[in-house]
Parts: sequence; structure tokens; C-alpha cells
Amino acid sequence: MSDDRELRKGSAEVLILALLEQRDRHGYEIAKLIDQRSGGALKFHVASLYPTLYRLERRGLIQGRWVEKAGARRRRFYRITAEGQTVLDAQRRSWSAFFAALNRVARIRHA
Amino acid sequence: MRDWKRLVRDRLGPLPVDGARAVDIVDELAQHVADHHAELVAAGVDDATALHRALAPLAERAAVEIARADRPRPVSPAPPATAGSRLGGLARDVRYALRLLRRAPGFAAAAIVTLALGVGANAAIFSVVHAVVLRPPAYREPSHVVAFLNIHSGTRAQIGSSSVPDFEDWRKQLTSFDSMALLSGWTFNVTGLDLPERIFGARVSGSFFPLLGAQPLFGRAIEPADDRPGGDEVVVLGYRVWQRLFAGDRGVLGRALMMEGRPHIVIGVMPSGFRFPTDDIEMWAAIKDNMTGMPRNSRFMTAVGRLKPGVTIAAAQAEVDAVSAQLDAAYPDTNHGWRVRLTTAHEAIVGDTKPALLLLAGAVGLLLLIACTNVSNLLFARATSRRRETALRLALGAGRMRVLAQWLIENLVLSTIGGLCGLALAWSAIRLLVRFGPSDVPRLDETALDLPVLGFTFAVASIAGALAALAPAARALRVSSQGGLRDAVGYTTVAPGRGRAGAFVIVVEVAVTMTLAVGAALLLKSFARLTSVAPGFDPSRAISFKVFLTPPRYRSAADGRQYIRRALDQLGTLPGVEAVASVSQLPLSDPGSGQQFTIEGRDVEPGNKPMAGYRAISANYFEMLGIPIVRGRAFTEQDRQDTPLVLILNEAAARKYWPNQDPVGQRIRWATGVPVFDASVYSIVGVAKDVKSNGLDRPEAPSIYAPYTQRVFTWLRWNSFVARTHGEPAGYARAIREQLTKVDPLQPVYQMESLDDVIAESVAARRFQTSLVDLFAALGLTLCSVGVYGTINHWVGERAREIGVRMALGASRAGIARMVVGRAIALTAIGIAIGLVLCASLARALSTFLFAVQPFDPGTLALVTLLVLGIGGAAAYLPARRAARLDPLAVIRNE
Repeated sequence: MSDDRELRKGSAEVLILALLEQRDRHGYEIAKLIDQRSGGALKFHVASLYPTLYRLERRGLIQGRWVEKAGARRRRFYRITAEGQTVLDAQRRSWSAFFAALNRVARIRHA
Repeated sequence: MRDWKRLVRDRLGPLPVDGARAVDIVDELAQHVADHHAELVAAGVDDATALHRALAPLAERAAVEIARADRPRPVSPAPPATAGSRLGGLARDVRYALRLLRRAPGFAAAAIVTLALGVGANAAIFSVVHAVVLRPPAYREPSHVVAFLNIHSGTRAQIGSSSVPDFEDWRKQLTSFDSMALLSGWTFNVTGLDLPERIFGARVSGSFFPLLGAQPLFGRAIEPADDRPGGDEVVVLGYRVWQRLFAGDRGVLGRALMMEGRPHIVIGVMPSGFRFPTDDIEMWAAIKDNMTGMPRNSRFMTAVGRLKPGVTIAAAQAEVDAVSAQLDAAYPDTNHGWRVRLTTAHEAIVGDTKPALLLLAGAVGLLLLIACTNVSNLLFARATSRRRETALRLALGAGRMRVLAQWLIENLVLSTIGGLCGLALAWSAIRLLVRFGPSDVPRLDETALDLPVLGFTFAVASIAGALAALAPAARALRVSSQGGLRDAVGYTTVAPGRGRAGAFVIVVEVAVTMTLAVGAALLLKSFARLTSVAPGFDPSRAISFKVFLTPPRYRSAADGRQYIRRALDQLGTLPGVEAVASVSQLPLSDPGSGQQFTIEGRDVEPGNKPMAGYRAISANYFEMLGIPIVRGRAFTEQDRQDTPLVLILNEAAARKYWPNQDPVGQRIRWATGVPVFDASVYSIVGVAKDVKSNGLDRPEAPSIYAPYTQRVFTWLRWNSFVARTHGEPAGYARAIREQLTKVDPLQPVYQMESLDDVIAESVAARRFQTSLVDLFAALGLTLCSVGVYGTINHWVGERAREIGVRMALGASRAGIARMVVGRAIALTAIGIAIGLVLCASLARALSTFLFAVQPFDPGTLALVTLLVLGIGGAAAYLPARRAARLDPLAVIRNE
């Protein structure tokens, strides 16, 4: 049970870092993109997303900052840090290797 | 515009991070929730559903998860607590507590209702105790005002009144007193108003008002000069009679009221709080009659004295004892065996009501204990379900004191709300108590929710809240952060120790409930026995009413006899009235009067003369009321004033003074000390069966009947009539009054009521006590069944996995249900056993309230035991069913 937790936690971190690699985004946008791009298979809600974001921020992988726009409420945008980029690259490599291994053993194809 | 931040804050509860960061987090989450909601609405979801779905993920653990992820961002060290920040903290804690309670409405309602019942009942009974006993009476230094109670060492008879010659001797010899006064309850027939009025009042000596130091509302009180011969007769009005008869008109001063045929000038009105000696006294007139030469054994005046400063009651008692011994030696015929007991006047007046109030206070105290156990039980359940929160808060660095403080504040909020609801309950209960309470409880109508009652209620609510919270709080703190966290991620579910605590709660609750229920059942049985006692006369279709025959119209005994004869004749002509009888003192209604006598041919030691109650009756009295004559004959119309003087004994008098003899034919003389009454010789012509004249619960005292045509005592001024009617007696009230107006238009008729009501009224105080205690017991049983249910239900919830495993291993559903019910019954049985021990220790106290029932009445004890055991078993039924229906696979998989 706890292994599964770790796995999900780890995958969530990769997903978020990958989305922030493209450009800065705020929390709701991140949740929505994960939902859309996974075709609804992966869902983050408010109580699961933000602990992950804060944990990433605490570890220095992303950085949040408040952006204020006239006429709208301030939003917190996150951007990936250099350290985050390094971790994302490393993760990508290990996930690729992991899926390749899975594919070889269990014939699981990954897109 | 929706306040998203507030919604998020409310859902989330306090975030264990520093203030600025918490604001940021809430801001961010609020934005997210708002976006989510907007999108759902745009997709066609209705507002409420969208709101629910957007907020739903923010469950109780969310705040902790978020804070945990966010740490260890450097938290700025807490600033030293200032008064302001502490207050701010308190306000925050209170807000948080309210939020928690709002989120658990079932728990909050159960706890508040339970507390309100316990606190409300206690506040109501305390307000009565306070009004009747504790609140000082409305005169100066009440602890220095003492009453003289006369006790006869032989018969143990205690009477409040003293004789005038004794009083004069005390006043001359006693040095312990600043002043002494005499008073005597009196019924005034006041004429000269629209209608003749009968008003209870007192004749008082001139020293009475100065002694009490009671000031009038306006005008002046009676002064020493007022009781001397010559000058006007004066009267002081009580507040209520002033309002009722004179509509509060201050012009009443100087007005003359006709009382006993003489004008009495109104000189003052007392404030509403002043009632002395009893509640029903509404006017005070100065004694004008010359009382020298009154017989020494005619004890009919109440004596009071004010102790000199610094003199104790004990010191005064020693001095009074010495004087009593002198009087005993000097006047053996009248004073042998008579002693005086001094007690504060306040105690003499309210002392009788104390045991009953104590009984009620005890019953509500037990009810409060049951309520506390129940609330404690609820808090326990809640503490267990919040172990994770507590553990996380501890893990996140909250101090134990901080967690404990939050706990206590939550309970304080709970008990404050419960207390306020209890106060509202007490307010309505007090109105009912005053309205329906027995009329003979002094000062009951002054019961109010005043400051001391508010203070008491506040104290009780706080203590109840703290008591209920103590055990759960201690237990909550023993939770280690480690254990709780493990629990939080689902490794363990059984809370060690909780099972034991739950068992303890059930045992205590059942024990206390058992005690209350046994007391209530005994009182109920006792009351049932009491009301099934035959009064000795037939009350059906009978109506009674009274007159008080005073000068000037009824100065002599002959005047009174004439009124009675004319009234009997007049009422006899009334259609629908089968028969009318007359009796000087109505059984179960009027106090009897003791009369000493001597038996012809028998010597008696001085001071130990035979004594019996005296009743003057019409010839048809026995026949009409269905009282059998067991020996000799009844009176007849031929027993007139000019025929031989005759008397009839009751069985109690025959048994006591003529044991194993036939009293019929024996002759007696009265020994009143007044020569004109004591000269005549009376023959006993019959013995009548005993009647319960002094109370259904009292053995009948010796009593002597005389035909009213031979009634001689001038002091015998009251008289009752009883009419047997066709159909409902109440319908005859008007016609009866009209007939009596024909006899004497100036004579007020009072206390017209059916004999059934007279009997009911004689047990009113017991009925009141019994119904209150039974009400409290019913509430206690209800609370107890809820408590047992809650505890067992919680226990089943905690044992779900164990039960699942047992089932998986082959335990039958019936077996599981038996295990649950068995546990409830076993714990209830232990509680019952302890309860029985408690009952035994209270038996002596309770036995004074019981009539014809032993405190260890086996039938009652067995019945209550079965009832409580049944309630324990029944309360376990639902949890047992729940346990039996558990799906073992689902339970185990859930873990």
C-alpha cells in the first residue's frame, strides 16, 4: 500500500514538473491539464495537489510567486527551477527505462 | 460575490502554520476552488452541487496534509504572549470550537440537550431552595430572632404556641433577650367593603414590629403604644391584600375597616417581601384584648424574641431551660413536662420543607451526574475519532498545554451553550413549579431566576462541563504523536484503553440511574399505597365549605349554635341537596384542637391528663359521611342544649383511655382551666369508627365528638358544612352561597370544595414530590439508555475488524449479537449491583419519605432491577444488529 503511495507521489511530481517545463502555470491550470491530458485517468483535487506543490517548492524544484492583475484576484504561478529541470530530466530517463523494462517483460506499450 | 476564502477557512479549520503563510495558502486554495466551481457551473452543474464538489476534497485531514507538506518552512518564533494576543487566541479558539460543533451537529445537539436537562433541572430546584430556605427573610438580623416552641416531654408533642402567663414569666425573668413579642394567627371577617371578606392575618403585640425591625412600605407599623387599652384599634396591611382590595391606593391610610364589629384604622402597608410568620398572613392588627387571667394551659399564642447582641441561641436556651424548670415546679398541673426549644424563627417557618427540598435536590443532583456521564461519553467518542487530529497537532509541534487548552475551550463553549439552554428550561420549569407547586411551601411564589440562581447555574454548567471533559481530555493527551500518526495512516484501529473507559462509563451511569430509579419507584409505590388508604368517610358527591364565626354577631357560643342551626335548615331546603351536616373542624382540612379532660373516678398525675381532639357535629354527621358507630348510639335531634350532656369517642380515644373496657356510660369533665367549662359532667354514649382526620399517612389520634347543640367553647369559632348532592357537587356552589346569604349576608363563606378535592389536597405535597422525582428518574433512565447505546455502538465500531475476523473464523451472526448484548447486560448488571449498594446507604434518608413501604421493598427492587437490565439490553439491540450485519470481507478489506 505504501509503495503504491510512493509511486503515485513520484509520478505526480514528474507530471507537474513536466507541465511547468513548458511555461509557468497556476495550480488550477496544472490540475486541469493533468486531467485533460490523461483523459481523466489521473485526477488531482485541491487537497492532493497543493501538498505536492508545496513539497516540490520546499525541496527547491519549483518556485511560486504571486502575480497581481488589475481587476482580478492575485494568483500564484509556479515555475520550474534549474534544480527542478535536472530532477525532471533524471526522472524522465528512469521512467523511460522503467517503461522499456515493463514493455519487455510484460508487453506493456507506452506511447 | 461568494467569500471563497471564508468557505475554505471554515472547511479547513486552523492551519498549523504561521499566520502570513496561512493567509497565502487559504488565498491560493480559494482561487482554485472558485475556478473549479465556475467551471462546473459553466458545464451545466447546478450551483449547490458544484459548490459541494469543489469543496468536498477539503476534508478534516487536508489542513494537516497541506501543513505537513509546507513545513519545515522556517516558522518565525512565536512572539511572547501578551494579554492582547492571548485574548485574540481565546477568540480564535472559541471560533474554532464553534466551527467544530457546527460540523458535528448530531454530537453537539446530543451534548447540549443532555447538559441543558441536567443543568435546567438543577437550576429550577436550586431556585426553589434559594427562595424558600436560603434567601434571608425580610427583617433585620434574622439569625437573632428566635421562636419559642413548646415540647411536652411525655407525649413528645411539639407545638409552636405558648400560653400568655408563661410568656409573661419569660419576659420578666429572661435576660438574654432585647425584646419579646406575641402573635396569634387569626381569621378576620372584614366588612364595610363591597363584599364581606375573609382575610388571614395575625393579632400581634405592640413590640412585634419593632422587634423584627421591619419597615412599612408607607405609613407606619404597629408600635408599643398600640396594644394598650384606649385609643383606636389599628391594622397594618400586607402588600397583596392592599393590591387586591384597594388596588394599590395610597389613600387607604386612615381608612376604617370593620373587623369583628369594631373599626380598625389602616396605619400602614408592608412591602411585598414581608410575610410573617407564614405566607398566607395578609394583615396584622394590634392585640387590644386584655389577656391577663388567660389559663396557663391554653397555649395558642406564638412567642418570639430578639437575642441581645452577642448572646447565642445555646446560651439563651440554657436560661430558658432554667425558667421552664421553675414553672414546672410552681405549676405542675399545667406545666409539668413542658419544655421550650428555641430555634430561629426562620428555621421554625421553613424547617419543615427542608427534607423534601433536600430530596428533590438529591434527585436532580443524580440526574446531573447521569447527564455528565453521558456528555463525558460523547466527548470520549469524539476524542477517539479526533485522535488523528490531536496526534498530528502534537507531531507538528503544538504544545500539550495548547492542545489541552483548545479541548477545554471547546467543552467550555459546549457547556456554556448547554447552560444557557438549561437556563431557558429552568425559566419555564420555575413558572410551572410556582403555578402547580403545593400551596403550603412558604415563599414558593417568590421563586425567580435571580442573580444567585444565575450564579449557581453558571457554576453547575461549568463544573458539569469540566467534569464531563476531564477523563476524555486526559485520555486525548495520552495519545502519543507516534501512535496517533500510525493510526492516521491506517495501521491500527483499536484504541487501547477505550474499551475499559467505556465500560466504566456504563457502570457509573447505570449505578447512578439505578439509585434514582429505586428512589422514584419507592416514592411512587408509597404514594399509591397512601392514596389507596380509606379516609374513613365517604367523599362521593359531597361539597364542603367553611365559615368563621366572630364577634360582634357571634360573640357567645349560643350565637354560633344558632347560625349553624339556621344554616342547616336553609341548606336543607335546597333542591338537589340530599343532606347537610356540620362539623367544627373538617377532617383532612382543619387542624384538630387538643382538649384535656379528667375521667370520673380515676386519678391522674398532674400534667399528664388525658387529651383528645374536640369536634362539634350535627346529629346526622356520622350517618351522612358513612362513619359507622361501633358501640352505643349516634347523636340524635333529641340531644339538645337542655338535655343531658353527651359525647361520642372515636376508637383511638376508647383504646387509649379505656383499654379493654366499655367506655359507654363513663363520665368525663373538661380540664380547660376555665371554671365555667370544667364544671359540667358529660356522659359517653357511643364509639365511632376512626377517621383519617390528620392525614392519610397518620394514625388517628384520640378524638371526642359533641353535638353542636351542646357546643360551649367560645374560642371554637370555625365551622364547616358538608352537603351531599345529586350529581356533580361543584354545580351547587352558587346556590349554597345564596342560601347562606339569607342566613347572614355579612358572613363570608370560604374554601368551598368537594371532599374528593379535600382528600387530594391533603396529599398534594407528596404528589408534588413524587411526580418531580419520578420525572427526574424518567429523564435519568432515558439518558442512561442513550448512554449505554452510544458506548456499545462505539465499541462495536472500534471492534469492527475483530468482529469481522471472528466471523471469518466461523462465529455465527447470532453469536456476535449475543456477545454485544451480553457485554451491555454484564456491565449493566455490575452498575445495578453498585446502584443497590448506593440505595442501601441512602435507605435511611429515604425512609422518612415513605409510607407503608420499606426502603428495601423486594418487589420494587426486583422490578427496577429488571427495568434497568432491560433498558441496558434494549439499548444494545441496535449496535448488536449492526455488529451481526457486518460483512466480514468488507471490514477486513477496509483495513
